[in-house]
Amino acid sequence: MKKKALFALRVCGWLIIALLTMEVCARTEDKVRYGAPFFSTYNVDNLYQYDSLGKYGRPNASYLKWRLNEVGYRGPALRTGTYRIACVGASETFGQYESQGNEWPRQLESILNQRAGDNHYEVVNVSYMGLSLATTLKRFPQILSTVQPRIAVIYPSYTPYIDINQPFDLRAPLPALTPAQPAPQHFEPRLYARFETFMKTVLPDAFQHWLRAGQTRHDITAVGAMDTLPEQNIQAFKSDLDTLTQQFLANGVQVVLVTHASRFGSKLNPADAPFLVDWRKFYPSLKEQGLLDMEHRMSETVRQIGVSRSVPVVDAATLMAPGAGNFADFVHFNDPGAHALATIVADQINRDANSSTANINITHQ
Amino acid sequence: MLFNSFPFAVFLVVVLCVYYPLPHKAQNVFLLAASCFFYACWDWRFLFPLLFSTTIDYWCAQKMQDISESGAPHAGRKRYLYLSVITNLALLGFFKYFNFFSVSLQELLNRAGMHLSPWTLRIILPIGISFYTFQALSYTIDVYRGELHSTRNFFDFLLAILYFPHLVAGPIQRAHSLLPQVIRPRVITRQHISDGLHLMFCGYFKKVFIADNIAPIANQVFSTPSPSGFATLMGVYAFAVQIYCDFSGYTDIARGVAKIMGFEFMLNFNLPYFATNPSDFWNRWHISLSSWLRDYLYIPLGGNRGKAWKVKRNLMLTMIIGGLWHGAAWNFVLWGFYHGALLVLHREFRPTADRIFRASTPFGRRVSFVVRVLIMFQFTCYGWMLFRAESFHQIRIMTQALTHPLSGYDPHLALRVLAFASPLLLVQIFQYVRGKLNFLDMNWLPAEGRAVIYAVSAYFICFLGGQPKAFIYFQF
Repeated sequence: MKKKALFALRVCGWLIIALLTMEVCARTEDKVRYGAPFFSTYNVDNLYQYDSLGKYGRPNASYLKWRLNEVGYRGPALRTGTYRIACVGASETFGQYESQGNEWPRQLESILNQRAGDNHYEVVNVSYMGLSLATTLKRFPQILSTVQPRIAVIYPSYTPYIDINQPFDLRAPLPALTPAQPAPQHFEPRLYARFETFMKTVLPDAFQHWLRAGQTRHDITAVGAMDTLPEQNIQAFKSDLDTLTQQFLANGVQVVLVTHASRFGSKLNPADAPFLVDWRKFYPSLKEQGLLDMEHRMSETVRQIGVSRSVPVVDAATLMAPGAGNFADFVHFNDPGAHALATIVADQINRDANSSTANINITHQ
Repeated sequence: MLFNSFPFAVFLVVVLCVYYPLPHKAQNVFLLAASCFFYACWDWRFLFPLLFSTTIDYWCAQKMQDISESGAPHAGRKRYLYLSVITNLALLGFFKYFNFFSVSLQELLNRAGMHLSPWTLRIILPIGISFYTFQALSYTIDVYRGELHSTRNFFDFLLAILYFPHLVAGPIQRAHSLLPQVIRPRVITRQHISDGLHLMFCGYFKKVFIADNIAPIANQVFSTPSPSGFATLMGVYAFAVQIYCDFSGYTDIARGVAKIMGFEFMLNFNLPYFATNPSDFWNRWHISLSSWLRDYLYIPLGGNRGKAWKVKRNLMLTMIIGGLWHGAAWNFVLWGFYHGALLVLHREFRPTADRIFRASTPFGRRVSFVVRVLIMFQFTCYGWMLFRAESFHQIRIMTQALTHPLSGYDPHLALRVLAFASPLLLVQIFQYVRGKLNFLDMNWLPAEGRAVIYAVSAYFICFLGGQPKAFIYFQF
C-alpha cells in the first residue's frame, strides 16, 4: 500500500515537472517569436491601457500578431502628408482571424493606393476588440485630434447593444481623465490558452458546437433569454450612431456608413446554423433568431441614418456573400472576406471622390 | 479516421479499455469488430471488396492445404493459387489502374490518329487496397509454397488482414509473422506498453511537428511554375524529409499501437538516408514492401540467377512494378524505372565505386562513408522529385533548374528547411552512431529528466505542429 502511494506521488511529481517544462517552453516560444516578457503577464490585455474612460490602445504595444503603432492604433506608424481615412468599429475592424496586415482597413489602404497609383491614402484603424459606439463617442475628441481624418468609415458592431439600452449622453460630463495605467498584472499560465486553442483544433466541430450550446443553456438559466432585442436597445444604437456621424460631419469629416455583415446573410444556411449557436454563447440573453433579427433591424437603422444624414451607406450586410468563404466564424472575416469588404468600401470612396467636385487635397490637414 | 485526429484518440482509448480485460478469443473477436468499424469510418462500402478478396484467399489457401495433405498432385494447388492471385490483382487493377490504363490507351490511340473518347469509370479507390492485397497475396503464396500452414479459423485470418493499425498503410505484414500472433494468446507486459507509447510518441513527433511543418515548403516549390535552382533543391530536400517523416511516422504509430496490444510489427525503416548505395537504400526504405517485392516478384522472376541481362531485367521489372504499386500515374512508373536503373548501374559499377571510395585509415573510411551517404542522398532526392512531380513538364523544368542549384540562393528558405529537418538529422546521427534505433531508450537519465524531454516533445507535437494533413501513403 505504502509502495503504491509512493509510486502515485512520484507520478504526480513527474506530471508537475512535465507541466512546468511545458510552461517554460510556452514562455520561451513567446520570447523568441514575439519578444514577449518571460516572467510578466502576456495576454491580449497587453495591448491596452486604462484610464477613467476605460481601455484604449497602449502605444507600441504588441501581443502575438497584433501590433499597435506609436499612438496606440493597430497598423503602421502614422505618416504625414497623406489623405487619412479612419476606420471605426470593433473586433471585426480591428482584425481577429486575418493574417498580419490583411485586416480590412489595411487592405482598404492597399486597394485605394493601388487604384490611385501612389501612396497618398492612409487608413488608420481606430477600433479595438469589444468597442461600442458609446465608447468611441467617449474617445471621439482624442480620435479626432490624433488622426485628423478626412473620411471616417464606420462599421459598427451591433452586439454591444444587446446589453446597452440607453443612448450615450453627449452633454453628460465625462469623468476627469486619469493617467493611463497598464492592465493589472497577475499570474496566468500561458499553457492554458495554448491548450484551449489545441482543443479547438483537434475536437470535432460538431462536438464543440454541442459544448457551446450546453454552455448557453447553462448561462440562460441565470439571465433568461429574449426572443428579440427590445426596441429601446435599437433606439440606443440609432442614437449613438447618429451622434457619432453628426460629430464627424460637424468636424468636417466625410462619413461612410457600412452595415454589419455576418456569416448568415439574409437566409440562414443549415450548414451555418452551428455557428449561430456558437455566436449566441457570447450573448446568451438573446436567442439565435433574435440575433438574426437584430442584424436585420440594426442594418435597417444604419440605412435610415445614411438617408437622414445624407451620407453614403455601403450595404455590406447585403453585398457580402455569407458563409465560410468570407467569414472565419460568425462575424469575423478571414483574409478573402476582409478583402471583399475593403473592395466595396474602396468602391464607395472612389465613387464619392469622382462624383465630388471638390479637389482632394492630398495634404495633411 | 486519421491516426493524427481526435476521433482516433477516442477510438484507441475505447478499444484499449475494452481489449485488455477480455480473454484471448474475445479479444480477437473484438479487435475484428473494431477494425471493421475503423475501416468503415472511411467508407463502409470499402469493406465489400476487402471481405470478398479475403474470403477467396482464405478458401484458396484452405483448398491448397487440403490438396497438400491428401497427397494429390501439385498441379491442383496451382489452380487455387492462380485464382487467389488473379482475384487480388483483378480487384487492385480494377479499382486502382482501370482509369489510368484506359486514359493512357486513349492518349496513345489519339497520337496514332484514332480519336476515341476516354472510357473511364467513376471509381472510388478503397483505402489501403495496395497494402491489404499484398498482405493477402503473401498468405496464399506462402501456403502454396508450403512455407505456412493455412489457418482453419476464417476470423483469425480476417483479423490478420483487417487489423486496423496496419490496414491502411502497412507495414505489409507477412501472414507467417502476424497470423501466429493472432492465433496464440498475447502477453502484454509493462515493457510492451512503455515501448509502444515510445514508438507512438516518436511517430507523432515525426508526422505532426516535422512532416506537417515542412510540407508547406515543399508544396510551395512544387506549385511554382518555374522555381529557381535553389528553391527546387530546397523543395526537393523538404519533400524528402516530409515523405520520410510522414510515412515512418505513420509506421511508428502503427507499430506502437500494435505493441501496446501485444502484437509485434516488422521494422519498416532503418535510417534510409544513411544508405551508401541504391541497394542499401532499398534494404532500409519501406522494408516491408521491398522485401515483399524481393520474395514474391524478384526471386520468382529469377533474381540474381542467370545471365547478367536477365538479372538487370528482373531488377528493372521489379522496380517498375514497385513504382506502379505506389500509384496509377506515369511519374510513379518513371520513379520505379529510375530506381531500377540506379540498381542496375550500381550492380555494374560497384567494383569501380568500391575502388574510388576505398580508404585505409579509420578517418578516411569515415570521410568515404559520409561522401557516399551524401551522394546517395542526392540520387534519392532526385527520385523524390520524380515521385512528387505532377507532370513530365514539371520534371523537365525542375531538372533544368537543378543544373544551377545555387541560382536564386535564399538563406531564409534554407534555414526553414534546416530548422525542421535538424531534429530528425540529430536524432538519426545519434541512432546511427549508437547503432540503436530506439533513441528514446534513455535509461541512463533519471525519470525526472525523461519527463522533461517528453514534455518538450509533447509541447512541439501539440502546440507547434503544422496544419493537420492526411498521411501521404494513405493514397496508395
